[in-house]
Amino acid sequence: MVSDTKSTPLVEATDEETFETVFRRYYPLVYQLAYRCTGQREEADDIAQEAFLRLYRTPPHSTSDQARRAWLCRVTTNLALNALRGRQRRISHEEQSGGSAQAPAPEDTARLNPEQQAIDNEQAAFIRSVLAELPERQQTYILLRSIGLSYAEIAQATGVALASVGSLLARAEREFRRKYHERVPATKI
Amino acid sequence: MNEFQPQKYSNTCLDRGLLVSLRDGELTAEETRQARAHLAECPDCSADERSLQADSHEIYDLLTSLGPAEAEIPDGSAALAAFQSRLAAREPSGAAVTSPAAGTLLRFGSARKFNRKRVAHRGWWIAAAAAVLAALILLPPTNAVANQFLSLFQPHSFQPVSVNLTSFRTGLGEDLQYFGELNVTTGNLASITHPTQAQIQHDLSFNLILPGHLPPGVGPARQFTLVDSSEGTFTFNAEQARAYLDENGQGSVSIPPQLAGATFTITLAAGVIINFGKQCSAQTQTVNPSGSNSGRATASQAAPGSSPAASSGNGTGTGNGPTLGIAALGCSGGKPFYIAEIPSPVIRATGKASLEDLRTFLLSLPRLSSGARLLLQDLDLTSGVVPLPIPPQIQAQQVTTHGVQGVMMLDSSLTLGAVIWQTGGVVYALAGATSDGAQLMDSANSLH
Repeated sequence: MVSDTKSTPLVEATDEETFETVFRRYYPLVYQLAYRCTGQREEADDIAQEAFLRLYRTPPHSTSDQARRAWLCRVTTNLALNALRGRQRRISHEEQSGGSAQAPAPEDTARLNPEQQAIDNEQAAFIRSVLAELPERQQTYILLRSIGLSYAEIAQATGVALASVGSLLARAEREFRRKYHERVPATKI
Repeated sequence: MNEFQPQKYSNTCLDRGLLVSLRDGELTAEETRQARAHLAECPDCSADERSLQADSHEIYDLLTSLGPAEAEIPDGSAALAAFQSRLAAREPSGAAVTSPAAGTLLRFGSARKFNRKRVAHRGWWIAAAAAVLAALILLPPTNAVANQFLSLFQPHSFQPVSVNLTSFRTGLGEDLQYFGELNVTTGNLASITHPTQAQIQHDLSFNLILPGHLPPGVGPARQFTLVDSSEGTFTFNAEQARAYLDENGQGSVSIPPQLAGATFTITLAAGVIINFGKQCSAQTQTVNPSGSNSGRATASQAAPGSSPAASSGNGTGTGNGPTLGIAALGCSGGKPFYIAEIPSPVIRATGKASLEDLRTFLLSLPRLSSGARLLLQDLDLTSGVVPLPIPPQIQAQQVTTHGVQGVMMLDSSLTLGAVIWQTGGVVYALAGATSDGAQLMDSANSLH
């Protein structure tokens, strides 16, 4: 007979940290990453909640801060990219069936006037579309870096060698910039 | 960081990756000193560095403009309360979860306790985990997800139970899709066609472990096959079920009112199958549970509904011994040998009816196959014992490996053997062309 209590140690025995502590510490980071990918508050919160649900159910073997942070960012990135792909599929499907679907605009922010807000939303959607043209791994590298992950954390989150992160990041940045300037006159920025 | 190799800064120019590492403060003090010294002497590199700085500002300013502003990040307390509500809603049996109102800390330790409380569902998890393995190993790739879902109630688990092979093959005897709707979404691994071991580890939510010893005759080369993640939701449709039962002479079956609109989900995280041989092709394929494979499709699949034993002599492997249904995924030579590491799927009743309600209803169906009936009855939702179907010609025995109990199955007539166990939320299975139990256990115990 398989005994659940014997066979499923969810965490290491030395782990004394509360889930609440971990949640409070990392929620802003996880939400930020999800929002940066999706541009939708509700969707970002959904993704963040799902990432913590997975942490709760199947936490990583290591309980170090760095490992948890990297693990959460990896899961969040995967969920967010998955959500974006699903969104893109729906848009393509609706377009094929004659609809006039388009990517949802980023949501309102109270700090802006409507005109400025519309401009910012359009710009954000454009940047995300440029980002989406990159291979997913490159998207991941620069997104993780943009929210402040160290090279060691990026290496842990993406499974690449620490010594390769600088080169991979350089390639991703160059590609992003190239694609951006293919669509925007260089003088704009 | 050891990105900075001596030859890079003595006479030759600094590459962009190194300049990026320098920018981000990721070089060691000595590397930084040497890089700065080179920049001071090399106008080209110095210009490159200035250009990179400007580019970096541009790139990360753009990304930062995507938001959210700090003030727009939801309050952690509210988010935690929402999380607790969500957790409680998804796990109706999880009474051990602290209610948000109580304000008590949710401890990882309590997660362990919570998991014990959920032991009633464990049997279903394990059943589904085994079913997924079976779907991958025994069933054709097409329609695999539907089969996985149906397999929820099919045999497999860790408590050996003798079954009649015919009833095993006929599955439930009913098609769950007559009783509702099944929607399946899959993960994003299908786009990965040549994953390295590191990439595979990246896509798994658990640590990949590999054998220290292989049975004699098994080649040391290996090839990884990713099993994509997926989530399926089955929504029970009482009207549809009623109509089906009436039309099929089962009008006397009553449908519990709580099943109307009830939902059940199965969540499967990404897993891996490792194939060993004397030579393996460089290409690694991804198995998508929805049935589509990417990469080179060299898998030889057993016929639908065939059993492990039935398919075992008919594979296309090029090894010396009998082959399995999925022989030659990309390796040849030596005895076929496979290791599967698949997270236990999570099966949940997410609506108003419990899994027990669904089981009771299924058991009330007159046409339920005898094999499925036996196994459903033997599924112990309290203790977590799940029946593992053992055809008559297979010898099964309980074994201990990695500190937990598993089941070893041997078929000496076909020289086949397998070991399956579950630990840390992951189902591990080894299978190969050997009926030497000691050799199999040696390999199982050597996984690390």
